Amino acid sequence: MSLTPLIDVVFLLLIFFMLASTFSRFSQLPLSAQKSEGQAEKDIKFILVRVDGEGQINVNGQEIEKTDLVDKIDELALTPSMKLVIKPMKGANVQHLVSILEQARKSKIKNPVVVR
Amino acid sequence: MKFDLETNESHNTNLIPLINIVFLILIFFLIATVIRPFTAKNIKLATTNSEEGLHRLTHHLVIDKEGKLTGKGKVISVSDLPATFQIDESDDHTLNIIADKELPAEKLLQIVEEIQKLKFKKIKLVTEKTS
Repeated sequence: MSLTPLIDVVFLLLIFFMLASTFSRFSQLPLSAQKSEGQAEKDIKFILVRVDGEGQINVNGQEIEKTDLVDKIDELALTPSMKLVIKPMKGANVQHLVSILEQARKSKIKNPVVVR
Repeated sequence: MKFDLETNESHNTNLIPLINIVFLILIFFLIATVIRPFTAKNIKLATTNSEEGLHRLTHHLVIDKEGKLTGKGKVISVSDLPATFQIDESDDHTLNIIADKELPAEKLLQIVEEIQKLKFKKIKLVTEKTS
């Protein structure tokens, strides 16, 4: 019995897996954007988190470290109806936004809104 | 004649260790790897430790670091989004965005605002797990 066709098929499978596979693990983050124009609703209070091009974080006008973000949001989130608004400033890229979103989702307010 | 037979036999015998190794590599790839859920190349994804895993992509939009959009294998513009992503009731109404991590966040949000005008219920940004 000739083994050659079997080896051919195994090699083809091997090449397929080598090209089509990846060692990276992927995940996903929900994203919801809103325009920052317009009048704010009077009853709803919000926490504003801004991130600049250097990844520097500013919460309600106060600069903080990235590691303190969750604690700061929890400290400011006095009522469950409070909204968390994230605003990437000029120069901020997707990685900066994703880092903030990820941290923010660990806080009491689960559904942050991103504005531009 | 006897000499020929011996050569043939030794030739077959020598191939077996090679086949064993190829099988081992194949089994390693079968177990250890995940099939890449999208085909976009030259896109460096933002990294997270998020737990929400990504299993399959129904609809996805690729945005490179210059803001060029690719949907369903074609380069498109923002105005082409409604025509490219025509969804029906049976769909899960989730659009995954595969955006380069160096893309300006403002540009991403502009595109997300346009996508929110379509019928998608959820918009999710695809990221790469760090650990």
